[in-house]
Amino acid sequence: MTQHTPTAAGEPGRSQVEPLVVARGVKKYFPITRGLFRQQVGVVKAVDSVDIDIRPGETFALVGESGSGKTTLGKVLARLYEPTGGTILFDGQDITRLHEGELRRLRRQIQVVFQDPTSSLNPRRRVKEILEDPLVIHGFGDARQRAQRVQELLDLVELPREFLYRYPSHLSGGQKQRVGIARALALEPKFIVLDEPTSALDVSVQAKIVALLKRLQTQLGLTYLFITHDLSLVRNMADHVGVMYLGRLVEQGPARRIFERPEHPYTNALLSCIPTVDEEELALIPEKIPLTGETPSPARVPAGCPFHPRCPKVMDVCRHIPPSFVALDGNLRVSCHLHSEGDPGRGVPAAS
Amino acid sequence: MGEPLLVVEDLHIHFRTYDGIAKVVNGVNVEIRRGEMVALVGETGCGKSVTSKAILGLLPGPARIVRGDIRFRGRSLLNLPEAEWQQIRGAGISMVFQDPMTALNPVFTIGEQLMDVVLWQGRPRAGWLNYAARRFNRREREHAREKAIEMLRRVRIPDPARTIDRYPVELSGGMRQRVLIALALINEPELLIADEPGTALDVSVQDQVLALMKELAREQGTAILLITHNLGVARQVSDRIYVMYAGGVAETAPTDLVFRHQYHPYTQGLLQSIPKLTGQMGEGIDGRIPDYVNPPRGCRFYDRCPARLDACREQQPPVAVMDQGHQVACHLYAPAGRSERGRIA
Amino acid sequence: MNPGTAAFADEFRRVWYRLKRSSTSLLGLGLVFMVIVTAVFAPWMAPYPEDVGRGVKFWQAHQPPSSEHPFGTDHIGRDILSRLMFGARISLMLGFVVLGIAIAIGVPLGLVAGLWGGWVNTVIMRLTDIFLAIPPTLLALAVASALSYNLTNAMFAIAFGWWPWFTRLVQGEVLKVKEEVFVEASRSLGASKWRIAFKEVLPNVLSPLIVKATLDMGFVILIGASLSFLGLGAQPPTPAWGTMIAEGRLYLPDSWWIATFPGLAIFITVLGFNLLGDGLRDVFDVDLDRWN
Repeated sequence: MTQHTPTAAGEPGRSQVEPLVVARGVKKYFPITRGLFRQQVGVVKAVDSVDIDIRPGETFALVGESGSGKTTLGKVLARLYEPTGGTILFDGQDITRLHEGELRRLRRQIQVVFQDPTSSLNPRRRVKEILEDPLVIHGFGDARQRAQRVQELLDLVELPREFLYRYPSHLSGGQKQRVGIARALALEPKFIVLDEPTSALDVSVQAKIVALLKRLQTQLGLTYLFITHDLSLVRNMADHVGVMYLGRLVEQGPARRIFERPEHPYTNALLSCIPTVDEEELALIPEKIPLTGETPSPARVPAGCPFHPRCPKVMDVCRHIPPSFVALDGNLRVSCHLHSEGDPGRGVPAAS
Repeated sequence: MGEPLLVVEDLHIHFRTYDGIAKVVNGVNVEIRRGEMVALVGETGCGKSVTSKAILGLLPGPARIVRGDIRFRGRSLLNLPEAEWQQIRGAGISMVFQDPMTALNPVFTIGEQLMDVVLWQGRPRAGWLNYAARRFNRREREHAREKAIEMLRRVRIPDPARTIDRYPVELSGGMRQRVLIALALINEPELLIADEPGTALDVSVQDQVLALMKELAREQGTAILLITHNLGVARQVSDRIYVMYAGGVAETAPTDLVFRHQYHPYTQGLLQSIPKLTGQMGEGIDGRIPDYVNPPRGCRFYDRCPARLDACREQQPPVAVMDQGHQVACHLYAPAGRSERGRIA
Repeated sequence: MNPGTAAFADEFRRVWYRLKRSSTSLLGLGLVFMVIVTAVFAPWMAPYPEDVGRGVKFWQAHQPPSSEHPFGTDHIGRDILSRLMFGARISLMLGFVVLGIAIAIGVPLGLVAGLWGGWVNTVIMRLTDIFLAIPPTLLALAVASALSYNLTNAMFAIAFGWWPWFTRLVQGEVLKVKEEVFVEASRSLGASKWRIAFKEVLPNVLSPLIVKATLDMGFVILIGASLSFLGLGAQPPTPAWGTMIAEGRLYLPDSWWIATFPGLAIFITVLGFNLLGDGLRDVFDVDLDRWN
């Protein structure tokens, strides 16, 4: 058993390292259309004004429930989606708007591992063809060099070489996800978006995959954006955590700080209802905070603080004015009126 | 204490596949007493869902029970005629399904579905003519409607008198899961089988739903058989846990004992694999579940077991009875406990 | 055996396992196999291969079925069994050529329409709608009668109206497959639309395509025979089944066998392909994959 310790990029020196990914005010809206002529009748604000810095070599976890926009944000940062607004810098270069050729070159740097390995691998193609795909697309070497590279990739994710000619349906869930990871590694990217990579797997397999991902991170110097709804997994995986609710980041900071003293009532509530398996763990859980209701549809985000209808500590101000971010000790940033009290200036958004 | 409410005895289920006969369930023994909360825990392919389907007589076509017995209130459920099954399902044993999105019929209102269950199952041996008579009898209908509203109130659906006339699509996932629980409990069954309840929902909602299910079952003395892959969920709901691996029960004990000490190497590995808030997480278990068409002759965990012995390869593990009702099917404990070959109950 | 062949053999074994469980699809397979073997080995199997052409043997005209001529002889004394065997070649060739052309045109159009969407999709799909609104037999008849009457033109005439069926099938399947995560995964690797079309989407469209082509084979052979029967297709003395029926129908009251056996040959071939097609549809049905 291992105790998770944040990597070097984690805490104190974090702010001095130049970030690999910088997102400022990133928005992704999807139009709601209706009728024959597809008139736009509304908009789903899947991601709304998100600021994120991801430092090289760290694991940044995006946590949230369904409808929080975490997957959409991940896909925007991987540039599978074009953002509706805001800017994204990758390695100092603006990647907010790119045309097709530039986008294709960017793919070598940013890769994605998808949630369900069964649906993310083409059932009609063999492992060899699946792994060769990125190499062929980006014109890597000749047939022999590619075959060599495919074997290296299998070794890297600890799969035996006789799997080359198998179809995905002949692999177990964990083996399929290893193929998914190998495919993402093929082009030697710097940054990998892991979209709930283990949520479709059994825990005994999840643990193996997490161990593999950690080993690969150190071995290859990778930077991860880890998207998940599982807070216990985040505790074991992440250096830095961002909690999302209805398309917004409500709290972000170093993993240890957030788990020790969560500041946002939503984070607190999420932590309080984790199913636990031992007493030691139970002791770390805050007192149970019953959340009323469920996450509303992102097409109808409540006014003021989007969390106010479910918040156990709701105040009058929450219903009208959206909170802005407040920096607290330990490098933690939280967007909640509870923490802007006594300094009204901080509670009011700067420009609105 | 007489015969438990439900007894699954030495159950063997085989599936016909194109590779041959898959021995999917291989000698499972489960007992549930009246009002008891029991969890069947295991990973994909361990046979927990197949076992629960066998209890409800809902095995898919290629599956056959080749050995063993399932007894409910002392009567065997094998080879029951369909008419008797219909009485047992709903009034005797009912089920909460995993996915609240698909388990409700989208073209009927919540009320219609609830009232249907009341009218059909409320009385023993309700034939369809009888059902039709009650369906169109105003007093019966009003009575059923009141009962449905009361049930919705008990599962804490806000404004039940109005919600009853809504269609499933108008409700959120959590609300639908509550309706499913209402459907399962409205006829006060003696046993509720819950197959991965709330797994499709967010943790915060799942948490509420599980607590509610447990509370209501306790109130009306319904026993629960919870099928889950999540040990944390099993811990929250159950009094006793059966840990299943590859078609057999590896270990069983009262819930708090299982979490205090695990004997079977599989249970140990499983528990260590779970990411914990303390920042501790094991390295998982190597390998994968064995091939069911040609299963290992001895222990089915042999290939993956970090503590295997020579005996494990050739002989099926005996059951060792440890302290306080803790039972393990493992060669490691054969000399220690009083072993009773091949049985775990 | 290298691992690649092993994987293929495994896939084949799976298809065979499912197919052999249904007796009707086995019957279909048997019939189709029989027709194909007959067509391939006709010159060696036929008792009187010289009777294929215009060879006139008046002295043995209108002989009923006998041990010497199992299916009898026609109005100019040719052995009907031998002519039927050579006719199998014509029917099968017609089927393969027509479907080959239809697939070659229809499948790429369907892929493009489904993947590109927008106005490209609108143009292609409205065009197929127009074709599909005309009964295929009627369309083939009209086209064939506008051209000179021979087998090649008959094949062209049928294929002219057949490709839209494949376009529509493929476009529908593409719309389904397009939403799969592995297509998104391929896009995230930087794959072009063409690469996605041929490497990711097409292999997944193959199963319904094989089923459709098998079922269509019977239908196309039937239309081909109809054209021949009407004199718009293969001309005598070519032993096309439709032509043989046309020739024999004049003598139906006295020599029933001349028209009946070619009719039976068509019936058996069409039945064979239909049963096989239905069987394959079940084999490829993914929903059955779970337990069977």
